[in-house]
Amino acid sequence: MLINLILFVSLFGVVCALIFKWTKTVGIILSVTNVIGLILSIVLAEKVFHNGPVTSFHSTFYADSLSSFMALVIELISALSSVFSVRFLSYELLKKKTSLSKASHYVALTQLFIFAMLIAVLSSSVGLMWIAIEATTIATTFLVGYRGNRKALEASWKYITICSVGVGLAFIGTIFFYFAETHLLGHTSNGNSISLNWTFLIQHAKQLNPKIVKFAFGFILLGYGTKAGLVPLHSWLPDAHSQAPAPISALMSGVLITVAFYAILRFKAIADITLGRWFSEDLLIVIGLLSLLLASSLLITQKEIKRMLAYHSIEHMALIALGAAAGTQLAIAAVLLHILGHGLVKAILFLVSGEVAITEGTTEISKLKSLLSSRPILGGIFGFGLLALLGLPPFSLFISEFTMMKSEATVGLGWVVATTLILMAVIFAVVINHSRHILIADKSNKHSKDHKPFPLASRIKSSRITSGSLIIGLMISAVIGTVSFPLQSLLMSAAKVITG
Amino acid sequence: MGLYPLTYLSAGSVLLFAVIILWRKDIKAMVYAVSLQGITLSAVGILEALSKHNLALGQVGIETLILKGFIFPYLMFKIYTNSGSKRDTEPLINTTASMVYASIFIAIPFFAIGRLPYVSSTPITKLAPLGFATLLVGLFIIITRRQVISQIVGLIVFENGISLISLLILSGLPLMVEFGESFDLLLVIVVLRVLATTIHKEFGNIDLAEMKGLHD
Repeated sequence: MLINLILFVSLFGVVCALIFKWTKTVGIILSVTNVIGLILSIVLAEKVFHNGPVTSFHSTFYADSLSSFMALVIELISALSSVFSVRFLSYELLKKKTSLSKASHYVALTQLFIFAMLIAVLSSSVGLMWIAIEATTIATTFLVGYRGNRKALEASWKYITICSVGVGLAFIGTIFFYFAETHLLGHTSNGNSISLNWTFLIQHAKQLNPKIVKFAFGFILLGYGTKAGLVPLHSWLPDAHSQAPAPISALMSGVLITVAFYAILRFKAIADITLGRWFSEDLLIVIGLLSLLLASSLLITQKEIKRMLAYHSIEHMALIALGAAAGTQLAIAAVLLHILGHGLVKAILFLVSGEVAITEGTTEISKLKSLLSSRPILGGIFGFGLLALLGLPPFSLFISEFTMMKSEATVGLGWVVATTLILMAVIFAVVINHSRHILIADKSNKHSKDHKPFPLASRIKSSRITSGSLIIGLMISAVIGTVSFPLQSLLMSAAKVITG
Repeated sequence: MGLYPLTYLSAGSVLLFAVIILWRKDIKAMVYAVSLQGITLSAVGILEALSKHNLALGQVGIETLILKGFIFPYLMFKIYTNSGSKRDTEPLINTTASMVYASIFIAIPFFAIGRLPYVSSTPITKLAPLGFATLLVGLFIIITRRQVISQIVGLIVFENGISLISLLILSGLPLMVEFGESFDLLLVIVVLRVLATTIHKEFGNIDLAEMKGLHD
């Protein structure tokens, strides 16, 4: 029932955005809708945690601790992002950078995008999950190309072609899981008796043919890995995440890539029972370390804030993949905490970059100077956000990264931890260097005297509601990093879904 | 035996048309070929449905026929008439080399997929490598062609390969998944069409080689 309600509220947002032309009121209604969705998803998580999994709509939808946790993350980032969409669109319309119809399309597609993500995590069938994840690509393509200039169009073209291919590969993986299942039951039929339900697959996982499962899981990892921004098909991510409007980047970087990883986790649970843990462990380590290496080497040359943040997303997905490789219950719980923590902080940083683009007129690192003195609140949020992203306490990313690495070490992956730490040290140095430039004026730099900030009158005031919600977001991250109650038990129970 | 020879013929033709698309640079010819590929793909589904008396599979076959045989090619022609470019002038790899690669892509699945358990167990599932070969040729088209339409055609060939695999080894997926997948694909093609038109307005000539604004 509660699942239906969550989906209904989200669908209401979609219909509302489709029917009404964009006005600020519509935007506020949509934000409120997403906040209601957030509250409902918290209630769902609480209920599922105490009473066990629930299904609805003839078992089409299914929520256990894991899916309700993911729904919570989606709703949290959506609520945050939709507040900024109002701000972003009002500004764009004020400056006549966009038309009313384009703004209306923007909100409709954004709500569809959120709805598709919710379906992806709440569906009981891995087939429906696939359809929903493909639908997220369709909904976001125009959002990536929203600005309509060459770079944005190039990014959205790359995005849809690469992701369609990637998700197509995941479909082959799904087909072969189904193939293994039909052979288990000794007859093929057009699916009325056999379904692609995840619960069914996991119950029969022990009897599935191991060779076929290996083959299928390889495709799943490659395919959904594309959407999660992992190598080898990651190249769309920095383009799409840097070209999309900031609230969309926040959603894509904060939660879409982890929804794709959620799909990998679901299949990993099946594959681990059939094959033992080593198979997925090896594949995830290879993909994780290569992604980390790529992110750390390409971060050095970045000249633009959003692109820098995009490479950070690849880095954190790599950390998540490595944590999932360790595979113990504690490790998976840490992975989920990292999904939440990274999603929140990354969304905040993208939203700050959107505010910076509005107030300073640029997001290029070389053009931004001494943000901390010219805009103390915005600069402060950005600084703390970066510290959180780098994994410093008290923010939750510290505890999740620490726990993931500890779990990796306990299952004998000490060399992975060592490699990770070296690469993260490189990233740390690079980001500190970039952010020092952005936040604090460099007095030894001769150019800084030539650099004249915009005359104050032409600057835009940053809005109080937006900075307020960002500060609340950062505080949530700090709170879940220091206080384990009540999240810890939910995370452990969600992790148990995967580890069995 | 029954309808097996016809199924073999249709499944083989799906791959054949993929190779023809790779071979031809004339965009009109490519679009015709992708339409014929859709028709042969639907024939595989319909023949399977007839031999197994499977109504659901028949529905999938007819849906494939309408969508991939006619609607997609129609949308392609729309882009084609908008763009004005008749030939894919500069693929990254010339035709002869492409054909050599194609032969490798066709050989690999027959070695690799054939080893999987159950795949060689029935006369129909044995054909699964054809689907993988089609998929790889489609991927190769996406990577090596620089024109917007060629890339979309490559994507359709890739998806046709996936459909062929699912038809051959499973006699289709649950109907909801089958239709959901087709609907998604239709939307992807529609989105690509709109995007192609916008790119055409912005860039003039629809040549993806000119899109070099983003790279590291």
